[in-house]
Amino acid sequence: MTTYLDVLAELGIDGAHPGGFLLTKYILRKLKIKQTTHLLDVGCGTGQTATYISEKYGANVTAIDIHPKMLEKARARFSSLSRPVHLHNASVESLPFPAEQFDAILCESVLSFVILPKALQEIYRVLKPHGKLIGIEAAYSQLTENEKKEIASFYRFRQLLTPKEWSAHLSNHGFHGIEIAYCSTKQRPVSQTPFTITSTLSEEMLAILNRHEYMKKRYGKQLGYCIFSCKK
Amino acid sequence: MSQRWYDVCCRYHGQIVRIHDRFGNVHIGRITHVTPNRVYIVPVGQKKLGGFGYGYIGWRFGYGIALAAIIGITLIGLFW
Repeated sequence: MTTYLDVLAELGIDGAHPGGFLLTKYILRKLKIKQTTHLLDVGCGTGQTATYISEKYGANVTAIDIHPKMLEKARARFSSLSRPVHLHNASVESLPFPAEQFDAILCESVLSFVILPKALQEIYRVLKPHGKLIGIEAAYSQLTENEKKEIASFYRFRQLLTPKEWSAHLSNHGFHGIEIAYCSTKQRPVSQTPFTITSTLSEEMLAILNRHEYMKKRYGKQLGYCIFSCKK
Repeated sequence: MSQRWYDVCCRYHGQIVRIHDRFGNVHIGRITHVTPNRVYIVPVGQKKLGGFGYGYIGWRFGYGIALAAIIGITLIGLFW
């Protein structure tokens, strides 16, 4: 069965997270990345962010994803880079890396889709002491249980949390120095992401895209996203 | 195929889009009107044309592009 994530992969959407690539670049500027920084891009998608970090900052970048189409697109993008980005077919729930390897880990709309305790445990394990986790994730302000269920079932979110709940999960898994900001999708300016509908896009995928537009219109006021950073 | 583009154009009515046609042209503008055969856009980032140019319907809605000639439409959106 085709899912929302399959549609994102098929459309090859770069920066498929709230705030888009503009927000990513803003966050990266704050991170103070050096050439010696080891950074893990979790759920790298088409590889736009990992490529940018590698080229702009010359850092050591490792990227993971599990979607075959995304991996294919990321691999193609990384093949032309002067500095290699190490790409792995891996899930954040079971990272194929030794402990304390990364200075920073970036999750752009990933943690909402996975088993959170497993993912946070793994991220904590592979982060160096004082390493940073940065996330941009779906969040909500006010939704009923039924509305949450409808949204989560369409997007296949494993959890849909408030900023406070995100903060609690991070804290429960040992992270500290948690800074978190909530943004509504109705707030301006929200940077958006370009995508192209082609004649080859299947009717099923088009229907999912239409449903996504409907969900945005219906829940735009209550459903937003949060940006957080925390330390090991 | 025209039905697909008709539905897409109706859904994104009012939005700024980039329409690619099979002749290699790229049209950038805001969707103002959709008929079963054509989508009308008002170009953005261009000065208004004075007096002539778009014909009667185009006077209000910009200019029309045949839905049958469309091969792709680029939009902007927010994704989770």
